[in-house]
Amino acid sequence: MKKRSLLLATIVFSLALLVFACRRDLNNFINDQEVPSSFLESAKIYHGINAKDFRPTDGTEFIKLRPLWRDSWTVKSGGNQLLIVPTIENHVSNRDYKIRRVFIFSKNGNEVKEGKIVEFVAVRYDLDEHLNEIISNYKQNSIKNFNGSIITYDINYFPESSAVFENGNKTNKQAGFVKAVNLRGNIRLTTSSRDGGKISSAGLLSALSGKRDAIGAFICNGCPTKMEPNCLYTFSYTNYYDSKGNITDTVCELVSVICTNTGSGSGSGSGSGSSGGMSASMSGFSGGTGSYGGNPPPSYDCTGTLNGSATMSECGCIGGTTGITACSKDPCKEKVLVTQKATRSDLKLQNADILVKSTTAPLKEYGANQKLLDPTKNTYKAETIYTDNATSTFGPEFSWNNTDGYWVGASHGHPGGTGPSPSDAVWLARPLASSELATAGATGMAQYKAMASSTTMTVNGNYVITVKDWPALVTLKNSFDSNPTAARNAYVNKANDYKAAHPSASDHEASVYALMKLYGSAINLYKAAAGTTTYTPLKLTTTDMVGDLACP
Amino acid sequence: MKIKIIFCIAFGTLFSNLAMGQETAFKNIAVVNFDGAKRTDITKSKNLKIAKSKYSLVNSLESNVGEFYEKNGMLLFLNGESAELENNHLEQLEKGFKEMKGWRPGDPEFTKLETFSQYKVLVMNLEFEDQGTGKYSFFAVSKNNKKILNGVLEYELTDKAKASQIIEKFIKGIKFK
Repeated sequence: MKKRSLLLATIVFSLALLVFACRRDLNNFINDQEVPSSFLESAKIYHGINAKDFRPTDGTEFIKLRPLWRDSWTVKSGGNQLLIVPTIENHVSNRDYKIRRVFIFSKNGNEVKEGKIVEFVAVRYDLDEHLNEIISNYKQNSIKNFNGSIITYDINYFPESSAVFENGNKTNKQAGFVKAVNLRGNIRLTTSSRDGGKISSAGLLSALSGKRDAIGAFICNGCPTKMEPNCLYTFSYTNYYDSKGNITDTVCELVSVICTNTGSGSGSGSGSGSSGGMSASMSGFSGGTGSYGGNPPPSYDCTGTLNGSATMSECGCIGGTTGITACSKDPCKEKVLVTQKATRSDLKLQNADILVKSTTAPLKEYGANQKLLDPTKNTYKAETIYTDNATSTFGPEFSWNNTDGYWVGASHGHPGGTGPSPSDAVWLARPLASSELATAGATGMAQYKAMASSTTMTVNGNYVITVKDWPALVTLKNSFDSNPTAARNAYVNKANDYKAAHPSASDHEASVYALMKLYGSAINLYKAAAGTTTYTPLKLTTTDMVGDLACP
Repeated sequence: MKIKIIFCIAFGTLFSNLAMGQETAFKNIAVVNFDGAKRTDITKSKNLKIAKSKYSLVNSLESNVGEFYEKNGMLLFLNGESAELENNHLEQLEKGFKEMKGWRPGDPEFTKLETFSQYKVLVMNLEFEDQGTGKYSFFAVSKNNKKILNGVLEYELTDKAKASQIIEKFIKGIKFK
């Protein structure tokens, strides 16, 4: 009897084990989600051919998502069968959010013809319960009761499209993810995948600088007041558009925080495939929950020193272990940077073109803005040369965002051949009061101040102004703005005084003298001979004339 | 009798020129007519009311060059030199002045370029409303482009018409050597 009982128990246990082991297959069988081996093999072939390895760019590691073939299943969609293959997902800290990411393969005949990566972002919605229903309808304009977004990527995780659903209906809004890390004091943003997504960097950077709520048309829910250097912050964002397709508002929501150092408390979550490294962490999300609280993270300064005292400034990281106590723009050192910038083939050609246009009848000032594609990199955005149709004025156009570019100055021509005017100097102080730069926070401000310059092209030589004393320039700018006519007259008068003492002097020489006399306390002025890009710092000599500053 | 008449005419002419100071050689550049303006220097000039303007030349001129004259509360500064000048030196100065001033077509003219038989002159006017003063600056270039005479007449805005007459008369009286 005992033997029979033991045998029976063994059989039941074995059956239970078998059923448990085949649970997924049974589930697929019951729900008509079985994966035909031919479909699976065709999908593997498609993936093998089309999924590529890309080299890291600009220090950003390319994310290649690995299909988890063994966990795949099928879903019927409009009479067709889709192969669903899950992939790596990390944890989501925000309990209101559920995020799933899968490969979706579709056939045309017997062969897989299309493979996509699709992320389903649900807001206060039971995504796991309705996942198949949503997958089945993910290209439709309505999904019953669904609130959230669907972001579609190609097989290499390059973004293709996004759709935002509200109460089951597709809207004209767009969604994406943006990740933020604190790299030695600089907050660096990465949009969905490598180059996709449209989000106001200025808005998010402002939010990350402590302005937590609405900044203009940008709202960030859950933004941390302080970016820890060892943590990856992931935000889901939704852009709102007007009838012309322009972004009117952006709502950003923190969905996860992953910290790599001990004591930072990244929460539990599922974290499948996330091995803890920062770059690995950047690969995604999962439906897990957790919190990003825990013990207070360690504090690093801009040199990366634990509890260090170095801080970011307009000339970079100073103080602490850097040995640099204050910003000092040594003209003899800065002239190298000025020359390097002017020698860049793109700016050199543009400057030459500006001079030709400005000195060709009918004489007008032509110029172009100088904007970076990324404030942390030295790549300039292609800018159009334009004119305000005036013989003696040119208006630069400031912007500080990843759509219009990061303005770090402008170049323009003077048809009359005189040197830079007071306007050309005070230009550089105007952005300090702009809302865009204000929302970019201290980091953006320091980046702007470090890069700002004003170039003037003339037949008598080329000039570059940089700022050596920002508060002094702001004071001069305020004085200029309070009475531009008086400021102009003071400048012309100073030039005339110079000519009074030096009767045969040119206006060109006199104008440079006047600028240095009146604005020299705030600026460094460099000159390159006409047609050249080798700049030399200028100074006022002991005989009260303009001369070259001798550099060691 | 004839000798007495000739002597009287010669004496009278010499006396009037010396007494009135109407024509005076300036350096080796030109002969000019000061029309009764009195020679002064930069130190004494600072006591004039017109020199209280923060834009007055006496407050910014750091080189001890040129000569100062005073007439009816106005201050005249004169300078000049021999130089090899471009044919279009004055035209370039005018263009540069307009550019620095931010002049646009349609704005009031601040400059006047005149050609005389032996020289060309550029006159520029600047007014400082916050100081209640103005300045006529002029540059005269000899026909052979080898000499330049320049000057500044500082005036109070209430005296602008008088200043304009003075500068016009002065310019017309220039005789390059």
